[in-house]
Amino acid sequence: MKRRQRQRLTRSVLYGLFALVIVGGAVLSDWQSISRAFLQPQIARDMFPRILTIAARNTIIFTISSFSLGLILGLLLALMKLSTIRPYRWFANVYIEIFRGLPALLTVLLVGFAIPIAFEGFRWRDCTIIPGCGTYGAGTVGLGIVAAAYMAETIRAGIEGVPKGQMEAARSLGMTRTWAMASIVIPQAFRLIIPPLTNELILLIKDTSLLFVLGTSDATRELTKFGRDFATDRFNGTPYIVVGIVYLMITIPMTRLVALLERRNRAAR
Amino acid sequence: MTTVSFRAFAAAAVTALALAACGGSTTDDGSPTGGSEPTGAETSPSSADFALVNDGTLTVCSEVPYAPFEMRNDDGTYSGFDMDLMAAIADELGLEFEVVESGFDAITSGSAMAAGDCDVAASAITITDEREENVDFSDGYFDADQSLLVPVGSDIASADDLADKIVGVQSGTTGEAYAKDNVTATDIRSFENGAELFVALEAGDIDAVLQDLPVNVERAREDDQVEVVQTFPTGETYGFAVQEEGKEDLLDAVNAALLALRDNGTYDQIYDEYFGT
Repeated sequence: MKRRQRQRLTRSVLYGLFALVIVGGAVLSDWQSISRAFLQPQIARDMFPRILTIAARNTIIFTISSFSLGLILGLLLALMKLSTIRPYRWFANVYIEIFRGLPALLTVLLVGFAIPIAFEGFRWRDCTIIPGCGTYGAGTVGLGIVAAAYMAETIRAGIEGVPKGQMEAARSLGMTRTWAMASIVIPQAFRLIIPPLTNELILLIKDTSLLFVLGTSDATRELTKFGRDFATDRFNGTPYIVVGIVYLMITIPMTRLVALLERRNRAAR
Repeated sequence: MTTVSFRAFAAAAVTALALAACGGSTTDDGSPTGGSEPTGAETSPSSADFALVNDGTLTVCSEVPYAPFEMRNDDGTYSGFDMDLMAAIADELGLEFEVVESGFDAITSGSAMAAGDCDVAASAITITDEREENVDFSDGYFDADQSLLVPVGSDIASADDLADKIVGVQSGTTGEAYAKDNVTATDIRSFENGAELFVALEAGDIDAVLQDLPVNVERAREDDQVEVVQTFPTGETYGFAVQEEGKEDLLDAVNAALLALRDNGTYDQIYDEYFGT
């Protein structure tokens, strides 16, 4: 009884402090300055519809394409890391160490500029299958390479998390190792790693904001760059706020969706 | 609002204290305070008028480096046309000169000034109507002429040869706006800063660079693989930017100082140092 009272007391003190910080912050903030610098409705309105038709669209394109590339490369690296052949393991280890250690911005810059300078005749811009293909290509490869390094470790952990009995049972039924891996182990591994992969996806959404270093045209700008350009044009910070809200509009539904998938998965097991 | 009323309160409190101190100072050893007060009283009126973020100092935001306008020296001081001109203006106003390095984003969004990082931004900023809506500009101090830079041996001789080419520009600059309005090209690619622009030119990602004439000239002087092939007058000028409200007096003083420097030849002297042939 006494303990519960004490708990209640500490909790209400904490709530009180929390409320005090928020109310204090709100009261002490210079709202006039804030709204002048960051909350101008007219500027926010002017950002539409291009913020959705160009900027958000490009953010999503870059995210999906680099996530797909990262997933394929990452799976390959995970399998190499689990391989019994030593050079494969070495390669995977070196790759993961390098690209997990380098800042993503640097990797993107190197992919975008160092590769064409190193290989005479190769230019990203020569890709013309779709408009902006060169920028999308360089961006996708740059971010995909980084994502693969992180995802490889996640996928490896997932594969190792599938009970050994699964593989043994499959082998005893006469399946080859490869076939058993592809049809029995990997699918189960992916079910295990949906939460960490979502994390990776959300990190990627935010990392697309680094792609401005590759140079952007009107049609290939992603959200952050679009917001920065708008802020520069108008000498006002409102676009940062609007862009931030759009990012949350993308990431929050996604995390909700994945949480739902996860719950279903758990129920199915 | 809150800060203003707090400041007023603080000022009132300080005044009250000072009065109290004066009243009772006969018994105290008042000589050191007495000695320092007159000088404080001398500088404070002008500083108060300008509403400076640091009393007695003109604090200037700039995105460094952007040769030849803003450059960082090895000893931590700054040089460049903007920097030297601003230092001369500060001198004219009887203020110390201090540089705060900021991102161009922070300057052009106005947030550096709104956040009280600095009093004025000097960063080769072109005066545009859109920007004028959110900050105040000084009188123009430099013509923002543009130019076209290409690799030596390129088949581009002027802007007319750009139809099937990709032109690189710097984000948020007059060059970008000029290229978008006046140049027919396959694509106009915007880069964040000069370094990436020139690397992209080398990587063959772009065929030409359209940007501020002095910056291109400086580049061509350093790198004999590139040359300036055309110059475009734009009729636009650079200005120093201040926050829209509360800095009117400072802006007037800066404009007056600018005029004085033009009259007494200091402006020309600085101009020749960086752009003289």
